[in-house]
Amino acid sequence: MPNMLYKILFDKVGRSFKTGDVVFAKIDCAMMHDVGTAGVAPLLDSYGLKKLPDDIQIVVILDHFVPACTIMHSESHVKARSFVKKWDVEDFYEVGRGGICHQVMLEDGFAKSGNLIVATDAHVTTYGGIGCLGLGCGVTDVAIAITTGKIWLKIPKTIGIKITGKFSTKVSAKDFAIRILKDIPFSLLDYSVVEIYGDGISSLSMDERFCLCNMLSEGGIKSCLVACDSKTEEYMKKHADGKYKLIHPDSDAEYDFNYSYNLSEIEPMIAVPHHPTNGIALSNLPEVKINQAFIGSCTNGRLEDLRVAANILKGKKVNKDVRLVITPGSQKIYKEAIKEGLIDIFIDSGALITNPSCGACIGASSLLAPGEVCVSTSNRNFKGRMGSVEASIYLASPYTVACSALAGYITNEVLYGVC
Amino acid sequence: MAYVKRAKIGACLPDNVNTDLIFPARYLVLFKPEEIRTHLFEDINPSLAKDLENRAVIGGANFGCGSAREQGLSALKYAGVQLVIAKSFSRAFFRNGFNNAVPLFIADCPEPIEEIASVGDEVEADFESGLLRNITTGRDFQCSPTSIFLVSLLKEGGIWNYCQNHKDEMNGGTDE
Repeated sequence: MPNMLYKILFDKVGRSFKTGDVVFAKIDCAMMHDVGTAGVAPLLDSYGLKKLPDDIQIVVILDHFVPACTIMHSESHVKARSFVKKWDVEDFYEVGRGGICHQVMLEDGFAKSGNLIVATDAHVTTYGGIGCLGLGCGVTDVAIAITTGKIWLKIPKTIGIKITGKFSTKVSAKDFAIRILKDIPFSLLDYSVVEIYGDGISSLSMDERFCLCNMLSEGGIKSCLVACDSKTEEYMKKHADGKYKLIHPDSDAEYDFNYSYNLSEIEPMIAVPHHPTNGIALSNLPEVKINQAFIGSCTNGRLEDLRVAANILKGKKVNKDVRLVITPGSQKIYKEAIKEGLIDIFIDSGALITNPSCGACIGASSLLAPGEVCVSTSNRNFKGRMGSVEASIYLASPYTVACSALAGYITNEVLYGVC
Repeated sequence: MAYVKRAKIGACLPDNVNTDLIFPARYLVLFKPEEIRTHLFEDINPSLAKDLENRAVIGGANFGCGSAREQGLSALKYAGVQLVIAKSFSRAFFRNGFNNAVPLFIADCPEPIEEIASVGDEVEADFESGLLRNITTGRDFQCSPTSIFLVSLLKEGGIWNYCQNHKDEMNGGTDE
């Protein structure tokens, strides 16, 4: 009967509960990025904390405004470093040594199946890809969780999504996520935990699971969990030390709402300005010329995403009217991409490679000017997100973005040399 | 004692007011009250923030969506906003509000926001009964009551005070 959320929280709360109850749940780990650390630091002082708890892993990762692009941002890094020194935080990632926080949390094994993690960032839902419950919070929630070891939760409603089949060519987890955000009303997604299970799971790579859980954050969900399987176990063995607990729902698990999808029926999708839930089938999009194409972010800056892009860009040149910005998700991904020759392909195609960071996705670099259009693999197309409030952002898969960079307009056809 | 908030509406906003509109990412490194409050709603209207002292803000569905950044909430607080009313709130924004004892009222009544109040109207929100009154127009709107736990956070001054006041409950958990 129990679903994954119940199984994880039962361990953390220590008693039974039902939807709508308020509980205090024990956390396993708290993660802060540069911006969050500067906010949490004074709160811990005001709560009178004497030392960090031994049973909670604390991780600090500089990734948002990296490298510092203004003096104000360099000062924020100074605050984060002082925090790390003051509290003797062992797991600290300096500029140039980690990458985008959620990717680092996964590849260095801080996120573990069956665990509960709080973070000063909404895309912590990414860890659902390994069956780890990630909750995005403000600095007060994280400071309270570090100080008391617990976070208050109102037990959310659950949405079960049963999947079968596998994606057809040109379709990926990003398209599926945009489709889910279009199909399931916000009123259901808001505050809920989404669980993805069924035979179709086995066709999804870990990178695809991370992308899916990351992007669904935009529906206002509390979190997202993918049923664990042998691929999850393999990933945990490779990346994490110590204890983890593979989580899957019982075969008769109950959800407040149920959806099902055959992955083979998912079409290429695109989210049009100015909200990620504005998904339409790419085939229904009129011709949209672009100024910038961006491949990166905690949604789609992983090795598989870079491989997809390199396959399309190999031996070709980015359209003369387009700048293509590519940001590997982490230093490890960057290094692997160099080894595999992907970075050579990108540079030869005329793309700009940036250091691993949130970068263009949060408007920290490669900013859009008024009137400009960007097609992006990132997760948010809010007004002003990547620069000017008068710019337009379209969200798509790495496949679509790479094709668009060659064509000069949004497409998923490899139209090199036609325009 | 009932928890009731009364204020004049200073701004009426649409659905999906996201955290980038409330507090742009370029200022995320700022945390001091005097630094934060001036950037509230800067990308909607740079002069709006100064008109919101002691005022209420009313918005549509999914207010505060996007980032978990607490400055979205803090900016409203430090600009002197007394009450935020919306059809629904994004979860991280909602948590940030109650953790900091900033009253966020869910106007889940059938009437749309435009019918509830306009800029300049005086409104009164009773959190425990769920009754939202427009004093200016004389209309009442019945919304869902706010839960006991959340009202306690507002009354006790936020989550840190609550943790101090309810140590036994935190160790054993509580049902509503």
